[in-house]
Amino acid sequence: MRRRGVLVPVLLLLSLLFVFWPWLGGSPYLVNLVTGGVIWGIFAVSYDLVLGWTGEISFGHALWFGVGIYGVALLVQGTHWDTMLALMVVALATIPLAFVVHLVSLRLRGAYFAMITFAVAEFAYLLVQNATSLTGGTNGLTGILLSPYLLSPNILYALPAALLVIVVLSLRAVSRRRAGRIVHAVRDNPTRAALFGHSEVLVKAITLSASSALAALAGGLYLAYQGMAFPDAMGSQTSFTVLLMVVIGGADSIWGPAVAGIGLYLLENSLTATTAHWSLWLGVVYVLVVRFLPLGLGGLHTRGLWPWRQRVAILQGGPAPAADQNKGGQA
Amino acid sequence: MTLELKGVQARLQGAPVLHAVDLALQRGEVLALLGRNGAGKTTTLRTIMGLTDLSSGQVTLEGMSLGTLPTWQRARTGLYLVPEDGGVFQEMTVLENLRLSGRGQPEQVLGAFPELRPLWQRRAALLSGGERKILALARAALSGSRWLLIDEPSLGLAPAVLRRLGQAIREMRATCGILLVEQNLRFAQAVADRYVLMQRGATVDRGQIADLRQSPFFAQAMSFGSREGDPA
Amino acid sequence: MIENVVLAGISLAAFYFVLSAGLSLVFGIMGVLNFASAGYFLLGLYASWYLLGHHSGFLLAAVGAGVLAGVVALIVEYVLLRPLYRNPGGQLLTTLGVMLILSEAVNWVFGPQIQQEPMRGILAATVPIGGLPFPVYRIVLIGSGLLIYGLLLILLRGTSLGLRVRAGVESQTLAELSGIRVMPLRSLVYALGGVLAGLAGALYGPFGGVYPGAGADTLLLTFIVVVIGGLGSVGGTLVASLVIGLAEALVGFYAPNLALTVNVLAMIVVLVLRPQGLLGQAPGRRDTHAA
Repeated sequence: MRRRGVLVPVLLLLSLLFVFWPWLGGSPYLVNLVTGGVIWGIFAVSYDLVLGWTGEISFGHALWFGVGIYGVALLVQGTHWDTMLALMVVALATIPLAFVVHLVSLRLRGAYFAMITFAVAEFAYLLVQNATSLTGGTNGLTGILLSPYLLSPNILYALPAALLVIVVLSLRAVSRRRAGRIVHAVRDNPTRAALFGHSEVLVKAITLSASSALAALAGGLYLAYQGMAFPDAMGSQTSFTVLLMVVIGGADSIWGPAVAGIGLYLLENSLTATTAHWSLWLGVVYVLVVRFLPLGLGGLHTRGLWPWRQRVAILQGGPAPAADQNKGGQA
Repeated sequence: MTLELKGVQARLQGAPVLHAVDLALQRGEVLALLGRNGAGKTTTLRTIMGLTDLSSGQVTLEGMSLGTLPTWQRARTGLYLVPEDGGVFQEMTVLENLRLSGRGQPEQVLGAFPELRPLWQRRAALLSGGERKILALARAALSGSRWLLIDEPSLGLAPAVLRRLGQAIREMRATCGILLVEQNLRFAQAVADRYVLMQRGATVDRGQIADLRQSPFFAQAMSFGSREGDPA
Repeated sequence: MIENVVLAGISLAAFYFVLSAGLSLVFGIMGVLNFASAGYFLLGLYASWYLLGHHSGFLLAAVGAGVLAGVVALIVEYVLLRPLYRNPGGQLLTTLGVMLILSEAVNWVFGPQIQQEPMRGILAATVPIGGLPFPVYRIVLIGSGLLIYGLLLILLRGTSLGLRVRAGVESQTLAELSGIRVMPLRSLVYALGGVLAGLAGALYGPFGGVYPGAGADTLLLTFIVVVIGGLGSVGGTLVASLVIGLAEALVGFYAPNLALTVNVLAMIVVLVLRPQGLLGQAPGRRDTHAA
């Protein structure tokens, strides 16, 4: 209890520092740079909910990022609402949409699930590229009327930063509570969890919907940050990047992906001038992490990333799953 | 000439499934492994084959501990598992299935299993359930394995087919030791010599098959989920 | 007129087949979606371009491309994938990483610009079909596709090695229970997948262009073909290649922008309604084992 007592004020202090340091003196360039990193940090945390909390691999998380970007852009364009308001509306609206999409996708698991996420994201990407009248096609949407307070680099930083702190702390709290334990139980041993009344599909669909909403939030913030919407932000490269961030940061922790998101973004945007082959080294580091540090830098473990039960897992015994529940190459 | 399990414990995804399994199988006998659903019978077979890791205890074959020998090697030392879902490659013909059993010319099985002759080029997926079980046994016979582990062969079969199946198993008994997991008690009693009862991951009783119903553990161990089945 | 479009579609189909057959087999026996295939494709593409630029014949360039890609694939399997044997999720993530590394490496060495593929002699010629000039190269594509299909068929159905590979593809557990060592078969199939992807890369150069993004561009199409055909089935890949190739040629003729979108939509529909595709095995049913 003594430790708890010391920890809370320290945490509070660090959080306040994290949110308000631009006012203590930081060049607008630096503040702006870190803002991008923080937004990607939120995006990475949202993907941690996918990879770490459900144990499924998605190759299409950029879809929800794009929903946020284009959703907020179109909403503000049409209604001239306050940007933050539009952001909240879009994030909330994403939840039911995502829930339906995930319910359908969760008919599959494993590699099949990964493929359908990839396909759906690519499909959306193609749609956005081709629906020129609505989305501006490959040129995107420009001239979005953002709320005036967002013109200040410090405010533009502080809002995402505060959001990141709230999200990380909230998720840590949830993961310690019953809801979090249910999610982890379903991830580790769905059959056993089902015996206790927890439906694998339902729990994962809810978790994934939360991750989609959070990703949309990050997307909307990214729109405010960039001032424009363009299709490449929701392409496969974005999906792969955030996946790399979470794997390197550590899928089993929440602050790991956040730090990795910020860090890798900063590195990429400050180093590409000097190191021409940033992506190559990132790829090498990533492969090494998968091979030797399955739980990323955020946690050191000797086991595999998570128990992925699928058809070639000879060590997995257990009851064969009901045929209709399992269209996806794994139990 | 024994296949022995001593104090075998095993876990599935962290949860303990077997915690005290002891049994001994001799060549020339059929040993029925009985118990209700979830007692751990199939897991026991999988552990013998190395599909599930031991957490404690030993599996010894003719005095030699199997240790961490990989499944394919156990198969080559004479252990053969016919799993519950059939043990045949559905996408391949009967002939191809037999070729994949490891040794011997496929034609050799036609003596003991003449009903396979007209099915030679047929894909296994197109066979009836009974024909598939016969094919699985033929594969086992062709492999020359001395120790057969058969998981619920009687499942879903008509009485006439059951009779044929029982006959085939009894014929193989001459050269092999057969561990038969069953829930169909009539079938087990007709085919087996001895029994071992399992309950909740442990072997609780054993004896001659004729004495099965006299076992004090019988009622408990078989309480629900078992099928009386048709007379074999 | 229509003959040109159909022939173009069939030549596309031939290319898709060579590109995707390896991926299908690798998934069948390893349960892993081999993203790295796009990387091996890229290696083959650039290797053949390089060899052609150094006065090599097309056949030699293609073979060289296949061999290079196959060797790299073998190394990747042994060094990176085999240690993760019990961790299919880790293997999947690794293949993605390999693809990214290979793409970036090619970008580094050769630069992002599109290179010219030097086509000479008869391969650069055209023949009149339906009143319009039809590239001879596309006929070469069709021939190559048929040849490779034939070779695969002989390997898988005519040899005992092929029999064991098919056993491993259908059910690794059952194969091991039959005394078959599946690990070396996995390496073999993975290397074969690399060779096929490399060959596809060599075939792609003359009509698709030589640039680092080619891997990512063809990745989606590969997935579409193997999903619709059925993972693990070479015959399925053949049928799906024809469907997708013809669809792309026909739709592309009337509405160029829609072609890819329609194909992706087809992939999604198949995944939702019939994940095993045309000729694959039902995902939940494969390798089921008793409780």
